Amino acid sequence: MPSESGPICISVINMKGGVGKTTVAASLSRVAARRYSYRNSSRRVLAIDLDPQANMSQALMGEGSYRQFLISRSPSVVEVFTGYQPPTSGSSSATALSVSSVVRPVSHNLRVIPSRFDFSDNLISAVRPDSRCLARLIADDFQDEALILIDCAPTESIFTQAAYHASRYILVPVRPEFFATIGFPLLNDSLNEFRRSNRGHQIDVIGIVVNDATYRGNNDGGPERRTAMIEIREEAAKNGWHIFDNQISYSRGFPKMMRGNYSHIGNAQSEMNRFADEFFDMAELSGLGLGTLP
Amino acid sequence: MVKDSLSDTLRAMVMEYGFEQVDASLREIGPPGRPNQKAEASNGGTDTRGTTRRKSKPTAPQYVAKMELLPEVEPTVVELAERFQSKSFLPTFGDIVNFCRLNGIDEPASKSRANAIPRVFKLLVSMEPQEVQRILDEGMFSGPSRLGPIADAIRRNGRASAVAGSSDSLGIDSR
Repeated sequence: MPSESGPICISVINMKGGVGKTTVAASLSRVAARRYSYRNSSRRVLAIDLDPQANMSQALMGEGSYRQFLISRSPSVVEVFTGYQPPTSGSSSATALSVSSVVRPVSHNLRVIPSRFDFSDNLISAVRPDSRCLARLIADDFQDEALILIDCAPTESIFTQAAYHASRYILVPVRPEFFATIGFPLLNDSLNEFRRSNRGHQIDVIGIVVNDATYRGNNDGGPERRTAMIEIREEAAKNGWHIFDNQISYSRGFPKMMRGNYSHIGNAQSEMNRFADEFFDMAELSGLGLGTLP
Repeated sequence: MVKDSLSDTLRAMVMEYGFEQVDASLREIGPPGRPNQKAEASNGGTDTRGTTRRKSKPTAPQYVAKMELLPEVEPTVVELAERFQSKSFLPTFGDIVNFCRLNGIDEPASKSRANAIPRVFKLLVSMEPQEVQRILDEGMFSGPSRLGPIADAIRRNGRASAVAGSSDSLGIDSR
């Protein structure tokens, strides 16, 4: 069941690497899908992997499916940009890209458009890669989704532009450490530049989530973390960006979950649920019906 | 004191190997001075000391054998039951919880794979046949991912592209 105004598309971006973009994007996708499933809703979540490292694809699909996807040379987000399916062992000419072939089901309520390691090479060598093709694909073929989450690469590139064109909101994960805020002015500049060139496009930073904050209950991370948090707050205020109250604390369960290991995941699930409650309860996202369970 | 020390040791073992593995090993060892349960079972269960033997739970293949399955899903579900038994499908209780949550059903109350068999296989037979087939074909929900097979597939794809002798074999104009 689509929402009345079409899907809400959110890109998870930070120009700084290693802040947990993939973990946040993959985990939020799973939480949202599970909540729809729990509520017996037929609404769906689409996760789009725009990072050539393809880690979100690997996390959501798991080893078997991702391996199968590579070996069978199935279409990926690469073909979304190129716009066609190249000749394969099964077809001797280029063919039209079918939407159903580019999305891979993860569960009843969750699908993924996977990425591939040659994504970057493909586009760098292209004459004029079109950064609007992802937005067009969503406009044409994914209006029945409720939520679309895009995991982005940590550098300013055509992928970032493609994510902007497709998105209404930007979610910014950040780690409370010295380099954490370096990505903020870059992101702000990049967004302002995009807005100047695309005046009809409403795009906003929905908030900053402090990720990998510290061990819950053990300590507050000490003076270095406190200093980093002051800087994050100052930079966020300069840009008028909201900071979510619920920080995602460190848990050894997160890397395990990314690997598909669900034994002894500690507090990873509850940490993500706590943030997801606040995130999906926001007025902007209330139409999704993904808020806190009663 | 001894109890605390034992608890600590067991806790560490459970953290390391998982509850089920530790539990299974303890059962295998059995109390001292008494033949272990495996040996009893191999003797055909001839213990006549008057203890009430607990009825053992059906294994996944045994449970599936009693289900009414549509012909189009039967071979797939049977194979998944075999894999469940050999722990190459939903190898831990955590995997079962994740599988249930992803598919919108309550997770099993008891933290035991054996007790979760009915829930898992009822869910599987309620799915679309092609969805169940994909779980089997792609080895989904088979536990933690390993880097090796993914890396091999990446290498294999890279070699295939090189053999094709074209940098644009994946569909882009490389001029």
